[in-house]
Amino acid sequence: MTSVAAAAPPKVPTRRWVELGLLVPALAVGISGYVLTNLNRTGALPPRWWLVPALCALLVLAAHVVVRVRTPYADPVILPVVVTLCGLGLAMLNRLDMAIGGTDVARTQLVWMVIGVAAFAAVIIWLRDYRVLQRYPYLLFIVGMILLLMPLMPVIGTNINGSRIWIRIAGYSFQPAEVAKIVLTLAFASYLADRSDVLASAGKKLGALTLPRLRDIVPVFVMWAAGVVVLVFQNDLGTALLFFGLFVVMMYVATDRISWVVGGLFAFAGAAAVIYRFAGHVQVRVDSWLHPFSDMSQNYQIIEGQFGMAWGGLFGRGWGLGSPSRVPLANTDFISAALGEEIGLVGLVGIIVLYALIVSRGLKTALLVRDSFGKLLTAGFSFVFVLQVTAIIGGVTRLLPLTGLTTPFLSRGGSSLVANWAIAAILIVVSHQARRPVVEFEPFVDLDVEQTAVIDLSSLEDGPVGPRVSASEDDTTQHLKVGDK
Amino acid sequence: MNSVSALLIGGLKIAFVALLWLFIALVAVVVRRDLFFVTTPGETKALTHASAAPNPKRRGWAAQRPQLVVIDGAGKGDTVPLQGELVVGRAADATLDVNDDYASGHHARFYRDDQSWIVADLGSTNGTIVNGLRIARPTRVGDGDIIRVGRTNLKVVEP
Repeated sequence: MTSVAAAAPPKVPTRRWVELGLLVPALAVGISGYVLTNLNRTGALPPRWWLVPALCALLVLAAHVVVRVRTPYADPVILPVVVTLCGLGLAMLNRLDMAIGGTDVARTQLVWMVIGVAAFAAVIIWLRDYRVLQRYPYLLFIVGMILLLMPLMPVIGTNINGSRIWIRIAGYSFQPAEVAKIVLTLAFASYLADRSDVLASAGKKLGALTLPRLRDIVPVFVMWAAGVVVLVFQNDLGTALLFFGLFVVMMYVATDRISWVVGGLFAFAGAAAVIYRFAGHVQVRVDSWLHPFSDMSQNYQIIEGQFGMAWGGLFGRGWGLGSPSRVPLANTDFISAALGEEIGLVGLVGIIVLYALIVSRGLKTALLVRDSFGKLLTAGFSFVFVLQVTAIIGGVTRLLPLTGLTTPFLSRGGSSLVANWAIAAILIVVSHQARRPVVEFEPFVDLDVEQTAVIDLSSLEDGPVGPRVSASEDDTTQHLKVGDK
Repeated sequence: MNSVSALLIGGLKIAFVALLWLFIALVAVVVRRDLFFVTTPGETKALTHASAAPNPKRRGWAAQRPQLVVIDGAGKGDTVPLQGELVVGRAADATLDVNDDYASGHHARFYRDDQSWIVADLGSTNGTIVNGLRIARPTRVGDGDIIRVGRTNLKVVEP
């Protein structure tokens, strides 16, 4: 029986202490940004300055404990990186509050941060087996569409800055599209996980392209088109672009066919040309991307952002010593310009590397996890970060035309923050399932008790005949008796 | 005095960026360890097999009991202990999830009576093949038999 004693599965380290260790410098980044801002602007720390950092530390500790208890094998890097980004965002929002005066964006954001961590904990506690979500593709789709349509409803929907994408309940405005982003990704993933094989292999050949069968592709196409059409009508082209890219990438992951990416790029070029012709503000965006300095008043925001980053240089002005509040909307769309001004190119590149780390861990999880739903889910969510960060930071730095997407974890906005914490939680849950040891004995025992006694083999003369054999095969194949050695 | 404070501010500014990159470097170290030193579940199994083969006296824990080994297919190297009853298939709730497009969701069932292990086809689309022959009835299998499910070959290993 000694062999049974050695029968414990090979020990796979949980890496929770590594995560806790990384959380210390992660917290230190945001807190020192906050402290340096106060020192640089006023020369002293405000009374009870330690209160907010202590609250943040408690919040992070709570998140860590939830991960440790519920998903012990989770990736150790995701949570610390998210905490660093959140800390940088809070410190910069507080710094902008100090410059503008009379606003308390940072405090509101802190409240949302608590809600975000609560959402993170809720997902980890109740969704540890994420595969239950795979059963309801159409229900998820309907929920996602309702969320997308909510801003168009009469009482709760509100119009801010020309886009009708907010709802307002009890004084708090919320962007349901952020939650819809998660729900629709789940819907795509659960639909495609079931049908990826038929999408990839069944259908007509058209040269190098294999066209999928209509009945496989129509539901997913309808899902996607409905989402994009709603967003275009709400004048939220950034989110429409995000959905489009997400759809293309998930089709590519599901089918392993590069033709989806090629076709998607052509479709995007066509749609972009049409939208450019008919939507006036898109022309303005493109113009301010290519020739910002030709119209100082129209492109004021982009120009100020450029000046700010140029003034920041390599290492920035230092916390609190630039003037990022000259840029309109510095705390939402242009927060990366504000950070570029105060912590410089080196700091801003560091932030981009942090996003890249989240994405790489997400993709690593997608490679590691065994079920295709988990693969699609993590690949999809990773790509959401890729597209969002590329679009908004690329827009601010004039690599691309500016699209109004939120900067994940950094910029002001509760709905985005809560949604991104939930996405981080899903990545952690899937990475736990992917990294934990495979060998488990519990499920077999249950099956044993329930079913093995059903068949009475000794009563049969010519070997066992089970109840589940299809009768039609009896005449075409022969009965085998093998392995009786 | 003024130049001293300017120097201090400049130093703190650099120190902050250095802290941010220190964090990134630490994360990079963790990611690297994850790649090279921490064995993920798949790698652990591969190691068990490699060490089990050459030295029969020090066979791994898994080799001591009957098991089902994926010898060809997407999950090559995977093993499942043969005990109780197990279902092979593509469905997420199958005991051995073979990740094979040519396998059915619940493709075949393994169970045993007092003599040996038995494999039964669960009405799969492509059938279950034992040692090259498609089975019509639950079939006895033992050590060394190869069961084909979709494009995945499974081998029964009994000590």
